[in-house]
Amino acid sequence: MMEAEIEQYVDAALQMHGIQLDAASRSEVLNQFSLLRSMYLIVEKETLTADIESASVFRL
Amino acid sequence: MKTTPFTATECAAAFSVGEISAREIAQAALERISLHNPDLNAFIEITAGRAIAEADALDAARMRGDRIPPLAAVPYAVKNLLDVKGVTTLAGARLHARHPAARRDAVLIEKMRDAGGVLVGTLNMDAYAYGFTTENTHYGATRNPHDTARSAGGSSGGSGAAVAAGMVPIALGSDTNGSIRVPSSLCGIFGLKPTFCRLSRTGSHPFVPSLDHLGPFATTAEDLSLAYDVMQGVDADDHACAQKPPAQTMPELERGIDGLRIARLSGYFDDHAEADARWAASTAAKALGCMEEVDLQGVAQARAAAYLITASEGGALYLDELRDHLEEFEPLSRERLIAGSLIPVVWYQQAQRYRQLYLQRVLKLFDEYDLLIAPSTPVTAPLLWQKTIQVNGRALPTRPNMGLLTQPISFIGLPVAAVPFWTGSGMPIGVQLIAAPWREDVCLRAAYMLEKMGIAECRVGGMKK
Repeated sequence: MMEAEIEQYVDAALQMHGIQLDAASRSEVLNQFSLLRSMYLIVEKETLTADIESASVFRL
Repeated sequence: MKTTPFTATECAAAFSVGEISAREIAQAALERISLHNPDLNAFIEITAGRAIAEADALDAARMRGDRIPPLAAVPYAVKNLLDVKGVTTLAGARLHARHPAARRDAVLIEKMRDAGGVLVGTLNMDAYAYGFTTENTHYGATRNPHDTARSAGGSSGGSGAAVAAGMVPIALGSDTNGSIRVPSSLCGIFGLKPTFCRLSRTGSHPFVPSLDHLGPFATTAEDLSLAYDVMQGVDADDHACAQKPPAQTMPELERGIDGLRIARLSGYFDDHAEADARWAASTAAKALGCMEEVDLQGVAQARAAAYLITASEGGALYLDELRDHLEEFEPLSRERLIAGSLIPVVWYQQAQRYRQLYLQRVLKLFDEYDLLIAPSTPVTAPLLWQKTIQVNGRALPTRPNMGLLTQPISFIGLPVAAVPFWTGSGMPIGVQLIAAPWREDVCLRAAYMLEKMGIAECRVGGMKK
């Protein structure tokens, strides 16, 4: 996802959520979303086989 | 001259033998709050009327010869995301100020009350529990008692400051990504993040339901154990609360660390810690006779996954209010919540599935070790409003990164006792004592041992402005 694609995605998702932002707030949301994407890229590197389900955190 | 007892153990003991009344202990706590809170902004609401009423009831019960409960006459306070009957639960957010007052106490407060605790107030926090510094735009920042120019940590910063300043011997807080362990580290006190699901969350305002934990702060390991023990128990109203009988830790403290296999976590935990933090973890390890180091793999991914889950669940929780009351949100976290609400579900799923892989990896480690040691925070308390912290030559934004070392542990729900060490600068820093699920006794035994050895200690008061 490139910068322009992130902008398109964020704008479309904000519209779908019904959230209207001023320019400064939109810019900060873009920054935060880019940070989240960088976090995802770290986790994405892990190969997870199909048998790995979500953690059973409620049944430790 | 009669000295007012302070620690929970001292208060309960002095009350039980009639040396002092519960009302005198409560009044002394309220006076300490009046003295210190204006400088620290730890309390949001002081429940003086309730405290005196609870104290008087305890005094009357003692006069009748009733059984003395374990926390009898012990003053305590709670992070203001726990429901207190008659008080609006703010969760640090002006957004919630319009909500009606809670109609009953949170389950943990009921347990503290049944054990004889005396509630003196509710405590400041980062709005929504989303932050590590308790810099709250609407309710003011909480200041560190050891240097009021510095942060008390967060998000349970009011809890950390109230205990460290000696206002109360015990406070309750929550820990989603480090919000008990970070304030414990920065304020120089003991904290316990129990195993995920161990303590009931009924009557607490959620933030990230699949990561939220509740737990106590104290000035001694013994008090920490005492508070934890009285709060255990099954709660049918909290679907996540473990269906396990209480496992008392107080009787285990004197066992020491004999037989425990201990390792210090290196790798990521060294790479993301400054010299003071590495020194504290090494000092704890050496004192506990630990000769081994473990370079756990996948920790950075665990931290990233915790970050994603937090943003996604937190954003989803507040989406309706972001849409309808955007202007009332905390400016420091508003855009973070919005961005989190936009996360694609495959990112969230990948994070939750990675959680399973990482959990199984770490559980295997407990075949070889009983206790793992790591620093609690990368650095000692930063200045309030400090934009970045320096961690091994890298400048990182302060607010999200104080949890770099705690997030990978709470991500999989392991129990952790945070213990205080003191650096050459005079500021404290904490060490995490981490055990396998349900083994809070192991964490607390090690914490108690370090305290008895004089290696870890809480320095109550010592206010520096």
